[in-house]
Amino acid sequence: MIKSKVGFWILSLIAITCTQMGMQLSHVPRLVTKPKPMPIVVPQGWPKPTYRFRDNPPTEEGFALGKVLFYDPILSRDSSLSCASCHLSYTAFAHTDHALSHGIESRIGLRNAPTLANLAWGQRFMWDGAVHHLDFQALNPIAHPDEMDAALPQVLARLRRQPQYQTRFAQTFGDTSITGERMLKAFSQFLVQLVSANAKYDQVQRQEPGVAFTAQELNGQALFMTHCNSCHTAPLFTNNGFANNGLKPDPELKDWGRMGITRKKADSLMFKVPTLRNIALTPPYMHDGRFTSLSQVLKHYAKGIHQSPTLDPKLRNGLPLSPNEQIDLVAFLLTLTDHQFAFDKRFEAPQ
Amino acid sequence: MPIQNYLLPDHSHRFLRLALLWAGMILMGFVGNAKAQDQTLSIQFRPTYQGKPLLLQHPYIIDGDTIRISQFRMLVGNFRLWDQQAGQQVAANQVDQSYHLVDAEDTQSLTIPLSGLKQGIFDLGFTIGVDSALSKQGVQSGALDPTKGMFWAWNTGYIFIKVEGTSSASTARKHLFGYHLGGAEGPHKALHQILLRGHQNQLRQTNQNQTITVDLALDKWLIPTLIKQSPTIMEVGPKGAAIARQFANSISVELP
Repeated sequence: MIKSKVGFWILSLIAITCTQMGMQLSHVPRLVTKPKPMPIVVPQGWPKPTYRFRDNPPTEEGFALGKVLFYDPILSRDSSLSCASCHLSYTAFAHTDHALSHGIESRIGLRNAPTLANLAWGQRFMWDGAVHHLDFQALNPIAHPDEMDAALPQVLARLRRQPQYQTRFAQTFGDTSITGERMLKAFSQFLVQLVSANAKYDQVQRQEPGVAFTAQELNGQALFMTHCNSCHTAPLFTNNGFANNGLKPDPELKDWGRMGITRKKADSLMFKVPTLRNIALTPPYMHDGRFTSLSQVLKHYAKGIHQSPTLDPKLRNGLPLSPNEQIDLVAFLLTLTDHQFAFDKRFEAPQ
Repeated sequence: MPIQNYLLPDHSHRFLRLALLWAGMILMGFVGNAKAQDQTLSIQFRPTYQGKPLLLQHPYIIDGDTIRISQFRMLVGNFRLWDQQAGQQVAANQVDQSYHLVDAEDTQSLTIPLSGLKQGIFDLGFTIGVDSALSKQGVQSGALDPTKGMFWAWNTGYIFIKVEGTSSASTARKHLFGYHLGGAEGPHKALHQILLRGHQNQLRQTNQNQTITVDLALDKWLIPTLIKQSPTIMEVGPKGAAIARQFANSISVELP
């Protein structure tokens, strides 16, 4: 009797153990190491980033995955273009020498590909502010017929077929599931790391030894603070707002800017105020890339303002800048170039 | 512990006892987390046309015009129940806080099971569309994954209702028509709270698992007159808002 009792309990124990193990096995996640946190360092004196890191905490693995996606042409319909085709790291992620960027089959887009920097501080993205959260930004170039023209389910199917992506998604998110949410979060994890805060301007602000503005740059800075800073507000060199800066509408492009999104007359010809960081690396200028040099830009502000109902009131009479002052102002703008950012090995195409 | 009930006092039934124990363990292992007393109430969305369940690609004839619907999808969520006897709303987290992508092409997606309900007569509430606060929180998963075709990339926001097809009434290219309705706020919003009243409709949760059929009568608004006037509406505006309103008004519950 005692034997049978012991046998019963041993068997029961085995039964419990087996059942419990069986239960657990189906829930055991793939054994991957925890991703390493890669927090964003907010430069001294800068505002708090707008990106909500708690919703998508940046990690080294997420950054690496986002970068691979950024440089991968399989995100375009015919696998010919990647994000980096129009956003080159060496030119602060702008498309230098292209007034309007071209997509697959050399289709020409409506607007100039902007520089990518300090996006964690951005509020609205695209020249017309169509996108209100960084996570959604990558959907636009991927899906737009004049850019990468790809169907999103097709892009995800391509990613799922590649062992590299299965591994990288597992390293970043804990398992091999590849979803739109995860792809977009990985993009954001790469993009928020593109912090440009080491231009000469920044070094002067930080009073680093051996760095000082020249007299011309100083004069340029004073002119900038008087005439430009209300919109291109330091230290981000944008107020994240929209403005009509007096560009005569291109009769061929018929681009009314933000009005296309809000359908409000008051937003006619309003475009996002771009950052001026790395401006020397990112010609041509304006939403349609109509100016090839900074001197042309300043001539426009001084003498070329096109009057229209939504024109920014501060530009009504043009900016009172003499030719010499314009030269000084350009000298100041050149101090916004962050060479370390443009040549940062971390942002280059993955090997 | 249901196992205890199976343990027989007579030790001579050792094998039977072990077999029952094993069965119990296995049962416990698989249904360990389920609460025996909970019932499931399933909400089944049934898109209809001309009084019958919608058939995709079927040529419906109205006033001499043909309408073929190739796609019907909508985002619904925030299911709530109000217990009329207690006069209280059943806590939202006891019902279903998530969003669901209802797709006429995917039969499974038409049924949404709500579990953890008590017995009683109740009112049923749900939302067509996605709260604006949520879309401002960045990218979401599941039904709200923006790569699932219910998202405007060019003007960040969810498409709440998507109906596409062809019709002889359409003046657009290849006789196509398409309605992408959305907009969570502002004067032209397409977000709608639907409330189906229990006292009128006798919505009742019994101790049985039950399915409530919610009819979506597309022919209440998707008619040749509309297709002639506006074959495509794909942005937030007065026209889209008007259709979304008609859509919300066309929702009814079939008596159980």
